[in-house]
Amino acid sequence: MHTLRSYITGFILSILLTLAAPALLLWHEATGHVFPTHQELRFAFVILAIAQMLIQLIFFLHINREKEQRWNVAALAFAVMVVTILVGGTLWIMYNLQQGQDTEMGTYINGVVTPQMEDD
Amino acid sequence: MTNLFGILTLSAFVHGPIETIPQVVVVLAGLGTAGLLLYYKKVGWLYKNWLTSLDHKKIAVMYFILSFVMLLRGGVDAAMMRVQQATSLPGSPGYLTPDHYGQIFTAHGVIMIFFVAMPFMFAILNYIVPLQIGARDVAYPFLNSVSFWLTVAGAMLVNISLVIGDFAATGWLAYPPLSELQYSPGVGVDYSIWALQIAGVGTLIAGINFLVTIIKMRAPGMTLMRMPIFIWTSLGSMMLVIFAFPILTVTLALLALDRTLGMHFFTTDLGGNVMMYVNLIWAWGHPEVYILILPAFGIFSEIVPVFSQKRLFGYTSMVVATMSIVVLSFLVWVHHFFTMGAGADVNAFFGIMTMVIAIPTGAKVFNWLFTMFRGRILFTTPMLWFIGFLSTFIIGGMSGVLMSIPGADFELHNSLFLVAHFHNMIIGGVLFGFFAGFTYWFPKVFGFTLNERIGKWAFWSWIVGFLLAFMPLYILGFMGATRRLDVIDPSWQPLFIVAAVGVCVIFLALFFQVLQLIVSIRQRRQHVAGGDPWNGRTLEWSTPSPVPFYNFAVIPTVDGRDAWWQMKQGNPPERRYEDIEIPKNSFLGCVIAACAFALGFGIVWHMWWLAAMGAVAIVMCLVARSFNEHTEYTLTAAEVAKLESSYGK
Amino acid sequence: MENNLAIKDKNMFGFWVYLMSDCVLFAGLFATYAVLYTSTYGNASIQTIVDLPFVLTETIILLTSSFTVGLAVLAAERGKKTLTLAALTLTLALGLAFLGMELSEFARLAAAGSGPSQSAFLSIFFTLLGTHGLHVFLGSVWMLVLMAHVFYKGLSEGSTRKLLLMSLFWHFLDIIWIFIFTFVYMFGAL
Repeated sequence: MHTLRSYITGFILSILLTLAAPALLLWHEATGHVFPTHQELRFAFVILAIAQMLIQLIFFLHINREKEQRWNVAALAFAVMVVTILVGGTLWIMYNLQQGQDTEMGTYINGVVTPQMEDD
Repeated sequence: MTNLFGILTLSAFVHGPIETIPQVVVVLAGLGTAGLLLYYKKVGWLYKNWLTSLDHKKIAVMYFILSFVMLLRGGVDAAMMRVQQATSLPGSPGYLTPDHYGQIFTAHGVIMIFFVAMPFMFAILNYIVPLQIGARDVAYPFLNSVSFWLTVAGAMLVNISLVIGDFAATGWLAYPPLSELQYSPGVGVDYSIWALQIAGVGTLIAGINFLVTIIKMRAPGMTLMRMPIFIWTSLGSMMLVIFAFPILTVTLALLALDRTLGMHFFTTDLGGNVMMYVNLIWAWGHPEVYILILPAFGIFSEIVPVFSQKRLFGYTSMVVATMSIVVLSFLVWVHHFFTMGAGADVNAFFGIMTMVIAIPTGAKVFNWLFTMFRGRILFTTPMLWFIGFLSTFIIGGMSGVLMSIPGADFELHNSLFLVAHFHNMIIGGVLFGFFAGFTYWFPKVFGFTLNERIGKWAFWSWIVGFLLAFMPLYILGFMGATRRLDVIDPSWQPLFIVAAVGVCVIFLALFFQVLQLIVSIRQRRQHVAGGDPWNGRTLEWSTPSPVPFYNFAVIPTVDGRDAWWQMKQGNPPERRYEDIEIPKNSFLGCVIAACAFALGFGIVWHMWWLAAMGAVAIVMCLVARSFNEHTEYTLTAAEVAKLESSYGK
Repeated sequence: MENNLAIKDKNMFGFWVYLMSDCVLFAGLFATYAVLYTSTYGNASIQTIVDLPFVLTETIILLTSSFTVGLAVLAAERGKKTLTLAALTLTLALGLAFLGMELSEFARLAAAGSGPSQSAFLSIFFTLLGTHGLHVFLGSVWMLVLMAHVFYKGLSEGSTRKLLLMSLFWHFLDIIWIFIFTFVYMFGAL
């Protein structure tokens, strides 16, 4: 809804959600890099991102359940589907391919087994 | 001033003996066209009535002309390939060098997909979609013009590569590492990349344009489930365009960044991942083929009921099948690279999905057959094209399902079996469908019918030629022949010769099609088509032929499927004329495309000043357009009445 | 014959569809990032690049600009020309500040020998952020053009509509930034 209130609410919520992620990271560091775990932090970051996206969709982009927005919601749903398939599918396929190249001694690149690089 | 011309030198104009022939042809064609226009003083007429028009019907005709011209070039490429393969043996390697052969099969693929099939599709969509939904134009007429001209700019980049420099020799999808700078140091791959980027932007804009047109501009009373099936398939195709073409844009951009700015997305060193290119390009590439085939299916769904004189069977299942194909086409892309090394689980999933996507297509085939059952079939040329499609497409579909099994695909991947399969689908499916649409709707567009007899000669030549040219390739694939070979094994030669004969028959078919046009134009006064020469069922047949520039004097109100058929049964509605807003012409579409050409050419030859100017000029054109407040003029109700009475209404 | 409401509805939907296509464009870049981000080839990795206070500042700036562009739309819908222009100027300034910060990060990396041509990771890092930045730049140009419209011709239904579309674009870019902030920087800080 085009009201000042919706923009202010969206703004404040977005700031909070933005600051929540590094706050969780600080918590993790404060406990000596133990809690929450990296895996839990990643999960939390994703939830925070999706939540903020929804907040901005609702409060800034005015997505709602009203009749005028129906086609926009449909387009958004289709986009989410394609994005999920593209990113999820790519990750599945590419990591599967990478596993096919990994041997015990290192990665098979260009006909030569290369020991793992530090950051790979 | 070495920077002024970037890496362009005079040597780029110098080609080998065989390549000089097309170079001269392109230059003469360009000069000849310009000369003829000047001589007959038609430049002003062309500019005012065609080049600057925002009328979807004119843009449609221009798309078709582009498609036909590029078909000739793509066909010559095919003929050259066939001659090479029929005559080349180890020891006597034919008349083409391997690099030249590589450029030819690359250009053949790029041209046929992007500059023949896509423009032909947009030609038909442009003319028919607004008419079938009872609208006066597409949602964004100015952007429609921009889309067309950007496609022309892309085609011109591909054509100019015949004159200055050369083209990619990597295959139409330009896989790295061959397409990276290290192994393709020339400008060819850059020409290909930028031609496709520019045309791709045009296509994306057109996709948005037609989707919004279909969703938002239907005549009152035309609910989704009352739309003609051609509109449903066009909608599905445009959904695929919108959500798949950005993937192409990204992938080509990353390759361009590798080549031009030395980045490492797909290089073999510094961490690049070649396989990622293949993954991304096919994530676009598979939806692309469904973008092409869905409108062809839609055309048949229009033609079969009209020439069976019977309502389409299974409307709802057609809609469900169409939308299923749209979703499923995003779930099969790995079948293009089963052999790249993914594990059994990945390959099995995508293999099964590929088999699944054959099911809705099969449902469509059965619906067409059930429509024909107990109908009173009229074997006109459009109906012949449908029957030709049915027989050939099914073979192609079966060969596709065969290859969907990863184990089988390990034998057949990149063999001539694959080449036969996809030509089967594109020629037997897409091209036959578009030819059917062309012969079906020609009377509507031009006001006179095509010569039926020559049309039938053209059809029979096409199907005989196609079978001769491609059935041997299925056998050759099983015999071990891979694709893109410039020298062949002697035991394959007889079949290659048969294929070469097939191409000759196809050229005969093209000759008949051109002859049909010439004869029909000559005899047009004896074959005037009224508004409804086929006793059609959909709204485009409710208008005069050719269609007035405003389409409908009164927007129709729809109360069922097969809207025109319904109207013919009842009483003609009361006609109350109102003022109509008509878009004014605009030259900005041409200008933007010319700037895009400059941008592409500049990047290819490292003439950065030219590229920058082109980019800035495009932005300036759009800004200028945004300040234009008078983009339409009013056709008053009185003027409409006068025009309508000249049509006898 | 279309009335103004139908035109507005058609244009809003068309622009929204364009934004959805842009989602797929960024998805392709994010997918590429996910595949290439460990290919650092001995050069800088995301862990060595990430500077959370810097990124948080960028994020807050962009988020605030998203808020101010919303204020501009509200002012335009209420016919308040001066307030609209003021909010837009603030938005533009914040947007340019964001771009300035991003460019400074790029320059710093390039000067340290970690430019985009030094590894696959650096290529996708620069390209993902750069594409977003290019969109912000083009959005800024669009904003400037609209400000000129409003300044010289005043607020009209047409210019208010265009402001709304530009604000949609701006909000969309902020959403994309949230994903960059999360998947590139926050994940990289772990």
